Amino acid sequence: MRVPLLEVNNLTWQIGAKQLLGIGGLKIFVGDHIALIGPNGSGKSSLLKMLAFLEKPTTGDVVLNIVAQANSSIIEKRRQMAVIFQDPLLLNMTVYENIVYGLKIRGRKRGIADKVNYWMERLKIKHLKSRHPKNLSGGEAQRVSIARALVLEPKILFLDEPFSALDAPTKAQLMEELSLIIKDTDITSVFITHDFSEIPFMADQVVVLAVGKVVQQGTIEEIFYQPATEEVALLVGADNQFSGQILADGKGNKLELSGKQVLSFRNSANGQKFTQNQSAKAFIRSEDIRLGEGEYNNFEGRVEKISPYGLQYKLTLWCGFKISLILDKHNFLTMRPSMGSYVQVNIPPDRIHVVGSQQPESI
Amino acid sequence: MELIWQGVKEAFWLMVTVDAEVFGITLRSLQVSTLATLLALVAGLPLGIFLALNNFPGRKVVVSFVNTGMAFPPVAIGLWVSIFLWRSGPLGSLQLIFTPAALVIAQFIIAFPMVTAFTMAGIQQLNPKLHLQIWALGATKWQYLKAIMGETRLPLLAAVIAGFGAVISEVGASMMVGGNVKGSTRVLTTATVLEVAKGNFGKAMALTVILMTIAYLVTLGLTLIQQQERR
Repeated sequence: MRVPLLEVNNLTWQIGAKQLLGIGGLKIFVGDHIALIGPNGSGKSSLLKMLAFLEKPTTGDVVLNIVAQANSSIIEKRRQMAVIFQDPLLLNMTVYENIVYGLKIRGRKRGIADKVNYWMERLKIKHLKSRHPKNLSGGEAQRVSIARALVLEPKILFLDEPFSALDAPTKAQLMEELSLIIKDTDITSVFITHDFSEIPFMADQVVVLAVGKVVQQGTIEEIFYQPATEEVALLVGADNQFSGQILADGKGNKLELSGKQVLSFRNSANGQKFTQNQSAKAFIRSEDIRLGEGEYNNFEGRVEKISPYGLQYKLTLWCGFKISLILDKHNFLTMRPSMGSYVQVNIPPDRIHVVGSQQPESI
Repeated sequence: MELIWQGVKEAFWLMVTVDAEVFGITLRSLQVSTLATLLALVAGLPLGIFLALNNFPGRKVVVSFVNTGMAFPPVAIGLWVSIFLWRSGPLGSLQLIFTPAALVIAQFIIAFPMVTAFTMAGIQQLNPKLHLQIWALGATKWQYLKAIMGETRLPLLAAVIAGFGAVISEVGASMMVGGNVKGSTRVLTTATVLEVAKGNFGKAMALTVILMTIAYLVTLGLTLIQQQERR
């Protein structure tokens, strides 16, 4: 049986009467790259603190299966890990001293200079060696903070929104470099982010937290295309939502909307089975709806709003229900939809994610 | 104008000729104030760190006492220390009243809340996540405290400057607990008061010039260290 590297068992964390975390179980295996996502206040950073042994749970425990539990102190456990925070949090000393600091306090003596030099070179900060944090840009400081963590050769690396304070080009470059490093070194990693575009670079699994509980865990595809609950669907950006009732037609599932339109769908989130007349909600990502016709779910819609959406365009249509879709610039210029015009819309059944009204609280 | 000129000349002369009495007074002032500041550091630093890093019932009350302590008039501190050290007082058996030790005690009480409050404020202004980062790097308790003190060395230097500045220049407490005894508890501030009372304005001015020069030189030294750190 595979032994998890880090294991959470019936963990709760309370401050006063308020319970901030309630995690039944969570396992992190060697080589896992996990993204921890959730709305503000969902407990991501608190869970990270528990996992990194920076905070004690009220009940339950976190087990690190690389040190003998009975003899290991909190410090010994922390010394198997490294954390990179949103702010670089460098100490008031030179870049070199900052990077070497963790090694020194962990009592490492052999090959310190070589290790520090390797990571300074790899992160392209060798020329900053003698500078103080005040004389570094945000991107440079974060590179130093990353080098300080990686030089420790941690068994697990925790990253708490490490790119959120950086400008777009710096962020893109650093993210690409860090994702390569994590893959090269195969460090187990847990990564907190609010920016889902970062997830494919940094993780292959996603854990979704809501009000201190794990509400879904799965691959990126599962989380984004088969959200288990309404809150997960909303969180991951399935911005078209429709309430209705399930119709069973013997072939698959259909959802009848309040305006009597019928949506055919194929997926059932987490294997959920629906019963006839059950209330349910359908979630569809804007980018999954297309202009044109398909086998199922074709509707005529009137263009009500056209708005720029980054380098794309967002169209809001009225098809008896309101729906929005994303058109890339090429399609937009080819089709040239105009305000008030009518267009044909197709919603692929496998891109409709239906969640029944009765959902388990956590998985 | 004549008076000022005469005072400046006399001060210059007393300093150049290294007047034995003035030298003794100056040395005593430095010894007493330095010792009081050092003791305030020894006691105030741990308390400031403790108050900054811990939450406990009544913490706010303790912090308010510390902050109030910074505003205590030296003369009031002098009176209370005198009451305790008088022969008939609770600590009278120690026979410390009108001794340099009494001066150190009074000046320590003046500097202690300053050092505590500056230390506490210095640590509290650190990014709260820096504490987590230091722990996450695997620091032991002592390594953590060392790192935190390293990060607050500028405010800690400010605490030393403020503490030393307050005690070297106070007069009320030293007068009350020391009694301005010649050759024993006479320091620059109390000597100045005495010379003014005797009408020796020139000598009084000379003493104040020496006092201000000492205060400036000590503060300059600490400031240079502080600003070096800032770069």
